[in-house]
Parts: sequence; C-alpha cells; structure tokens
Amino acid sequence: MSTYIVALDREVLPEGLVRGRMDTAELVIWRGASGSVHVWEDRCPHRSSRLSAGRNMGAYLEDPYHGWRFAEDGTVIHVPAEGGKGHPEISAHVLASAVTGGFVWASAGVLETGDFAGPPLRPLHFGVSANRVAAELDPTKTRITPWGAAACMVYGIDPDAMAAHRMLTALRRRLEAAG
Amino acid sequence: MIRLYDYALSGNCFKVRLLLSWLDLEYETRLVDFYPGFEHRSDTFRKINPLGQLPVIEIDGQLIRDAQAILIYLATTRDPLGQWCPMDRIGPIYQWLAFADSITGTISAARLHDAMFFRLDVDKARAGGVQLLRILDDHLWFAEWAGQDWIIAGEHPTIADIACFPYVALAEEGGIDLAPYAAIQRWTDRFMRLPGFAPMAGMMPLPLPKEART
Repeated sequence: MSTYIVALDREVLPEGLVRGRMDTAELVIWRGASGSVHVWEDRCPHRSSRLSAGRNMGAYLEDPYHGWRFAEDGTVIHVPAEGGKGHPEISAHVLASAVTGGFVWASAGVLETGDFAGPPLRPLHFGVSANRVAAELDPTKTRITPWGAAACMVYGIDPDAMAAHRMLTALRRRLEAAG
Repeated sequence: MIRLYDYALSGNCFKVRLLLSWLDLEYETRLVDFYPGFEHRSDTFRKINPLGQLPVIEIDGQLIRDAQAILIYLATTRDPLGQWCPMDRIGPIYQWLAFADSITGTISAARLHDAMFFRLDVDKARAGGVQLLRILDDHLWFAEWAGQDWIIAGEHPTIADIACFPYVALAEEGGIDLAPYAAIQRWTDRFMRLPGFAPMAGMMPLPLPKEART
C-alpha cells in the first residue's frame, strides 16, 4: 500500500472540506477544531452520500443527507433521527495520515511519508495516468498521486515555483495531446 | 420599476437576481418558461430579445439583454460606492466577463444537455469547460498566494465573481467533476458565505452556525 500526498497543509482550511483522490478512493480532507488534519473516504457509512458535500463544524463533520455527525476520530456522535444518539461502534472510513513538509500524506495501509519538503508548487491535475507522468519527472522534486487509472495529481517542490509551474503545464499539454 | 425576464434554473438569470439583491433594488419578475415550455424561443419573447435568450431587463425606459451587459449596467448606474465594478480595474473586469460568456457556451451547455436534454456535443462542451476551469483555478490559486480572495484584486468581490460563479458552482449538473479544482472550491465557499447570498436550486451553501466559527 503506497503513501500519497493528498493535499497541501495550508490549503486545508478550518471551516472547509477538501476533496481528494488516491488510486480509486475518493477522499474528504478536513481540519478539526483540534488543529489536526483528517483524511477519510468521502462516503457516509449510512447511505454513502458524499461527506465533502456536508460541513466542517470544527468539533465534528456533518453529513449533508441525514445530518449524522462524525467526531474528529471518525466515530458517529449524533444521529438526528434517533434523538441525537451516538453510535461509537460506527465510524467513517479513516485513513492513516500525517502532515510533514507542508503536505498532507495518506495511506490505505502503513504510512511512510519519507523525506520531501520545500516550497510547494501549485498542485496540478493531469488527464493522463500517473505512470506516464512519472516517466517525465524528477522523483526528488515531485510526488504523483493517481486519481483513478487515467488521471493524477502532481505535487512538487521547487525554489523557482513559477518556472516549474510553467514547465509542468507545458508537459501536461504535451502528454494530453498525445492521448 | 425594474422588470426582469427571469427563469429560476438559469444561472445567467441568477447572477442578475444576486446583484439586484446585493444592490437592494426592487424589481418585478416576468417568468419565462424556458424548460419545458421553450417560451424564450416564442415569437412573443423574440420581440423582447431577438436572440431568444434570458435574462432581459427593462430599466430606465430601455431593454437590456445579455447577463454580463446587465451586470455592467446595474453596477455602473446603481452602485454609488462603485464596489461591484471598480473603474480603475475595468480591463480585467471586461476580460473576466467575456470569460463568463465562454463558461455559458461550455459548462452551462453541458448542464443543459444533462439536466434539460438539449441536443449538443456534450463531450466537446465538457472538454471546453475543463480548459476554462483550469484557467480559473490557476488564476485563483496565484491570487490567493498574493493574499487576494476574489477574481479581481481588491477587498470587495466584483461583477467578475458574480458573472463566473453560477455555472462553475453548478458544473457537476453537467457531468464535470470539480474535485481537481481546490482553489475554485475555496472561492465558491467564500462567495457563498458573503452576507446576503441566497442560493439557487443545485447549490448547497450550508451556512456555518455561529458556534462553529472561530
């Protein structure tokens, strides 16, 4: 199980919900009132509605469909249809995650963040597979997160952020045009 | 009295309603049955707008068609503070209003195909929409980097934000996934949290209760 970057730390805002992806899993990434960042599968365990369409209330994340509330550890603390009863035995699907080097990392298995830090580039979505992009880029300066089989998100570090961004944008144009 | 030829599910009508409300202007509405009635294509409506498009506004004894033109007219004649269309940034504002028109031709077209069964090349519409979303997301990401919240630099949002917002927020109704565009999502969150924002169908701003604010 690989470990991937799923967001920039500074883009996970206290009142926001960030959508991400990792292989085939859709993710919701959020910062709780404690300051910790959480990476969960973007599916409510109740009816599979997208948690990222709900709201970040600080102490908990609220599902948009039936208003279930999930504590920062993922457990259900409030079900409106049951008079606000909690269900500690039910949990969102929580992924192992950590914040280092300005990036949020997550893994469906064992987390191995490695050594990767520097001025972050603008993350860039490519409409081609992670493998095709990886073949073109310096692995010491970039990390690539697969978004399904045919797309990926490229995270990079480079002191010359604008030049690196222009290079990545040109590469994307070239790879996508090649189909 | 201002009169708006209006349709509830039109993002282009919504942007005009939003500015009318933010400028605190009273107006009356003439509802046009865009779908399924196609009343905008009727001979009667074509006397009001030969293009057969919504919205149209009747104001100061004239008919003005085209959502972007209406936004400019309202912002330059009804906003004494000049916040919605700052004249010292008029070049970028016109540029992003034209961009909003391209959004109508792509992202909105994909939504008309999916939600109202219009016949058009939806793959082409979606691909065009993705190119525009990437450009907007890029612009907003670097604007945030420079400490700016809105499309046009400055403290206050402008008609450029109003013009671009509706069909971007509704893109998923046209089958365009917004997940790759994190800067756009932060911008739509900020926009929907502006005081007095009232959503149209398909938008879920879910306002944050006071106790959740830090």
